[in-house]
Amino acid sequence: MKKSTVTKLHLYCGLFTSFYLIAFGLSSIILNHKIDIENRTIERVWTDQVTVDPSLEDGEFAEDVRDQLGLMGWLPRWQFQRDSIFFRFHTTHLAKTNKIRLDLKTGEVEISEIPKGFLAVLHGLHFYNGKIPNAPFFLRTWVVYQWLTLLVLFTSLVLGLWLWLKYSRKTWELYLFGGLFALSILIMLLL
Amino acid sequence: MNYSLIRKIHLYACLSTTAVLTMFILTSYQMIHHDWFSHDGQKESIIVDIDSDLASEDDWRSFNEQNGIQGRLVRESHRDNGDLVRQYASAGGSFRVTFVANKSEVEIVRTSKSTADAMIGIHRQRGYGGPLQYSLYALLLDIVGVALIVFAITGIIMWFKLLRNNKIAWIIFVGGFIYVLITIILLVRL
Repeated sequence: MKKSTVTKLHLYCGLFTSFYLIAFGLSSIILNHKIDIENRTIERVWTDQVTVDPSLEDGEFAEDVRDQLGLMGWLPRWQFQRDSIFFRFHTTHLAKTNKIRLDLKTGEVEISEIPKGFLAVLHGLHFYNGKIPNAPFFLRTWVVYQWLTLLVLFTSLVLGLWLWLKYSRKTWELYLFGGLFALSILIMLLL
Repeated sequence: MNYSLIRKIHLYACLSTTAVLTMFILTSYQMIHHDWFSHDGQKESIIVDIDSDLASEDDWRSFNEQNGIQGRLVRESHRDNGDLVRQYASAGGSFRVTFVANKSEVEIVRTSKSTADAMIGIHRQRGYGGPLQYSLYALLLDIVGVALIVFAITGIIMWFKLLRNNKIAWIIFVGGFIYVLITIILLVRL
């Protein structure tokens, strides 16, 4: 293959993965230093009306209310609280937590939104597999993007290494980075 | 900044992180295709006699060496009856050490992960502290984190300097940007 073709392929692959790489680089640093970036303050409160089905147990009931409200997210079971007046639960995903309080008699729901913040969303993409309950189709395509991005990233890496080895490698670079490669493998094996 | 310098930064950022980046890519696929791999671990428990009360970290270090306890301390707690429990974790598994108060014995529960899970365990290691190799790995992670950002940015700069008029490159770049942007907007709004 001609050098210009490989260079272009390397470029296309790199550009395809560039935003993913920036998000992952940032996320790796956040994880490694356990930096707390999540906002925990309520930014907006709104109310809505739902139909109450008293026959449902807590899990199904929370799902039913979430679906009626058109919200997406997981329903942590440890947040379920029911008394004679209210049923409280949370919906949560990588960008937002909603605290829900449902009046069991009137069906009135109070939703308190806690957006986690832009950095938390970028960080959350590290763990996101496109499988948030009630997510629209577009968000579910992330699993395809993620799969392709990893493949394209690997291709870009191989093409870049090939270009370096074939056209511009220097002996000292080979020893230094070959040594670093071996050292990195050794460190990982010792973990 | 001239092209040659940016190219070197781009190249060296990539070369210094090739091993870790390759591991991340492979183990990411393992996590995506979780069902394709075996996750059968092993658990075994032994009781060992001790002649020291394990009062200092030096006592613990030599106790761990004698009994093949690997990894770094991740949790220390006391049971309701006052027994001290220490948990050590490595990529390949974990050890739970229970020091039974008023007795001269310690219970060690060793949990070993399958090979696939041990590889994912490397992916999930993070943070400084513990034996030297863990801090060295944390340093590698920091380098990878910075390198990922650096070689994305230098790659974009090089594209602008070298192939700015390439239409396919623009389509891929703008397409990727719009896709990630819409994803973030939807996540924030819904």
